[in-house]
Amino acid sequence: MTLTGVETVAHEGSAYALIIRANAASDAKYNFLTDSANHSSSA
Amino acid sequence: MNFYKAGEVIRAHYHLQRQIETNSVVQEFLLIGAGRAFLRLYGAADQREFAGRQLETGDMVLLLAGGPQLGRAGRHEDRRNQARAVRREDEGQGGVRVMSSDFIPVCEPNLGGRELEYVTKAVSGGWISSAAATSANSSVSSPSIWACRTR
Repeated sequence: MTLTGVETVAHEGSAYALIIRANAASDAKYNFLTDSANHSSSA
Repeated sequence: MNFYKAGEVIRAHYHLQRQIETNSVVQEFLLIGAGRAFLRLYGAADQREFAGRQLETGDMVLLLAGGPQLGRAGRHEDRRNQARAVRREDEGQGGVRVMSSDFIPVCEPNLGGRELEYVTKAVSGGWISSAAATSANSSVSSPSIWACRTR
């Protein structure tokens, strides 16, 4: 699953910000009913 | 995280109940409705700036920890000049810049009382002005008080 336009900014092991650009896109969609509960949704 | 193009359809679905562990840090969501802004991120422990990102119209940010500062961004040339000035300043301070004194952290709201009851009464009764009967007792009469200077 390709996800573009999404950035996680981390510092010293902690995530500080999730930046989602206006042109963010994903070529496949996460299915909340069938996909793993442990699926990571950020790039 | 899903993104949909024009014409794509989100099929009817329901959301499963799920146990989710969260932390106690107040989070913040920003949407740049129009124009540009520069986001600076500061470390939670030392309050020193460690990252910055240029944001444009339609960009969104979910702030998870530490402290942010959102400032106006000028034209490209202005930003280049600002960046040079910042680099010079950083070099003079060993590469680390201390957070400016006008930094305003967002404090955690204290909503442990009857705030929801007061808000519900105010909205359902149409009393949303400063003259509302419960506003004097309510700590949420104005959302603007949720951001306060603590330093």
